[in-house]
Amino acid sequence: MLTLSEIEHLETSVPELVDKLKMHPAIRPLIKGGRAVEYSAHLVPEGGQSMVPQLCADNVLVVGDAAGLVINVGYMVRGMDLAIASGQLAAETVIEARQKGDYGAATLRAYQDKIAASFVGRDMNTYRKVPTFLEKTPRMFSAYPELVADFMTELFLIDGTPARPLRRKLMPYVKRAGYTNLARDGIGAMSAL
Amino acid sequence: MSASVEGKLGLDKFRVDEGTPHIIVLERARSEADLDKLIKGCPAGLYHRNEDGTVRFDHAGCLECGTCRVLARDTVLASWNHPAGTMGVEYRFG
Repeated sequence: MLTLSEIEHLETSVPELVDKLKMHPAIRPLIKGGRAVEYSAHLVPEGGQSMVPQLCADNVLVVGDAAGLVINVGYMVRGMDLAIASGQLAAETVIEARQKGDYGAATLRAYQDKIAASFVGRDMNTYRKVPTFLEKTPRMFSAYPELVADFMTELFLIDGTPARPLRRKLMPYVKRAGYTNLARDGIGAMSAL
Repeated sequence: MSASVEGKLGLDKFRVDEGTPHIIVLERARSEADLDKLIKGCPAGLYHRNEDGTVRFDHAGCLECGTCRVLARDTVLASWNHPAGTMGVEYRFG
């Protein structure tokens, strides 16, 4: 997944990026011997609750990512569960509308209420601040993953040099990421998530 | 293990509406920087800058993702639509 606003900073093209990913040492062994059967592309709306459009009108219900029902919390992207649940709620609404013989907007508005009452609407609301936080905090995708990777290397690397206390091993990396950054972003993350 | 974009598009099923492009490009981009974004960003590699600087787009291999619409709707495109009903790419695997 790639944020559209990052495309201008790419050195290669998007198709080449996909190829590079397939060659990555963590990915390559997983797909070895496989055969590509289809090539597709899709935009995933990650704007959160503020991006959710009108959900119903006469004879129309909007579900899944067409309804902006995607939650990116940085460590995980949810869309499948929201799509399935919203599909189910839409189906229930349609069944009810069918029994009434009326598919007008007023009847279909029940779908909106069901969404709001379910984990779909409630989670979209819970995480409404996350898109802005992630946009303002690019360190979440660069400096902090690097920090964790460096930690892990320090923890597990045995190279013959005598071991130092844990805090001394890790402090240089924390310093490089920046105490203020970590504190501010930690608070930001806790309040958004 | 890398394959060209054309090779990848060759895997897909298309019903091409010959002669009726669903995305119309401006003859010259209003923003060359935005055209560069499309040249890099189109997953099907369909945007090109001709020798004389004009914009070229081949609608036949379009994957209908909407990337160009988001990145350069007003600066490079004259119009953006999905192909007519049943035309365009047909995804068989979701």
